[in-house]
Amino acid sequence: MGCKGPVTYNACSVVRWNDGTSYPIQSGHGCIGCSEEGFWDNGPLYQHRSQFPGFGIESTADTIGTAVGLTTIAGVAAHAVVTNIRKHKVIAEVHAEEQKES
Amino acid sequence: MARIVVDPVTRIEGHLRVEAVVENGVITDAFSAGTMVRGLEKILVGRDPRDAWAITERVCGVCTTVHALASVRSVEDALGISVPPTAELIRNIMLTTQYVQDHVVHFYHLHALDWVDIVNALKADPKKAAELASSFSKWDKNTAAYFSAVQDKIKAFAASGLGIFANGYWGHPAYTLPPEVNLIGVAHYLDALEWQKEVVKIHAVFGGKNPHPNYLVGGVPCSIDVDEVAAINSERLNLVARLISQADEFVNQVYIPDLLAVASFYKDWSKYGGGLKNHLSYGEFPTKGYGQIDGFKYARGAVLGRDLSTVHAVNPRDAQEIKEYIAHSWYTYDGGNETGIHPWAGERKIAYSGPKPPFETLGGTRSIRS
Repeated sequence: MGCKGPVTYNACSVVRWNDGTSYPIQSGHGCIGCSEEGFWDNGPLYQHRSQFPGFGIESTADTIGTAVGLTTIAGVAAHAVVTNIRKHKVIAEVHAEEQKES
Repeated sequence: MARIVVDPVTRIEGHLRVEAVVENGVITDAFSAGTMVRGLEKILVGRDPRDAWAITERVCGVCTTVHALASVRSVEDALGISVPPTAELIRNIMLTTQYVQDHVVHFYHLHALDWVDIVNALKADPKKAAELASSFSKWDKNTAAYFSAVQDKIKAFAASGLGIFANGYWGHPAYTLPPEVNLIGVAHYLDALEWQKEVVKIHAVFGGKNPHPNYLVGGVPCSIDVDEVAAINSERLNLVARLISQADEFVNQVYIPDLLAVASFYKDWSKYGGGLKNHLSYGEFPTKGYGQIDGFKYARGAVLGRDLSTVHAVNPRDAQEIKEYIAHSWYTYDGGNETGIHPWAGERKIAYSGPKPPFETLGGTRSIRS
């Protein structure tokens, strides 16, 4: 349904909103990726989009899912994996910058 | 003659600039301007209509939710979609939540400190404040011990320099409330701050979060099943019911009594303002679908020239009845800026001549305090 959760870098599902009451996916709506830079231009909200500008690695998620003939759930898992890879990369970059500054 | 500029005006949402001309200590002329252009109509052009609510909603984080609702209704109207009755009820609950929360926030956090003197509350007798509050409300915090504790809090706050309230006009003779009413006002200002963050959890239940809960063209995104862990289940609905009861109590035992108590000391202010003396309501809270205005809980209609004896029928689709004028806005019309046209004509040419960034001084002095 175009949920941007797998490619959105945030802690909504862990911290949750309004004193831990809920978060968009729990309430039933897909994630629109509102914490991503320029999210309003990252394609239609209800259309699946595996790639955000600047993170080429995600483009492989759909390709993998389709080529191997995996189910949707496996596709989501593949997303989660590449998202984690991307997060590692971002975290590494932030650490590198912090070290540079200090 | 002095020209005073206040920009931005605080305790509002958005950006407002006020200029006043002062002669011999009296304001002889005044101007106000909204200095920002959002351009949301422009931003929406060329996008998927199902996405419009998410962008429109972000026009404001205080009156959040209402713009999203207006947006999905517009799209549904254009495409001939009617929403299921349950979705209509959930939307009404979300809208009512906003409606109630916004009134309280507006009164206490955007408005009350124009009437309530924080520093003067230190002179109040907490016992008398409790007696006074008990005379017009049944709130269980109307006790001397409670008001005394709030007073201690204000005392410590004043000793530390009043924080963000340091620039207030405390002690100004235009503040006419007795110390006890000031203490009640400050106490409930703080209570309202706590309460308002609770009540918006209703938005989190049905829309995932507040500000900017999620909406959906065609209905609502949440599914209801009282026994299902992943749906809006009985635990979630009980939370909503509890928050509604709390809101009922807070509004009827705190907000409305305070509003009337404060207003009774400022009756002479009713002679100021008045605007255009017209009032237009599109109507609200549908019970038979948004196309059936006879099912609206709040009726549609217009009052003209402050004549309350007649409520005129309104047809929003009639190009002669609804006209938008832009002579005092950051737009221009091809047919001339004095003409009025129906919003459906879709003419949205921005003509901005206001302050340009960087907004360091906006052409005026930053503070009117001398």
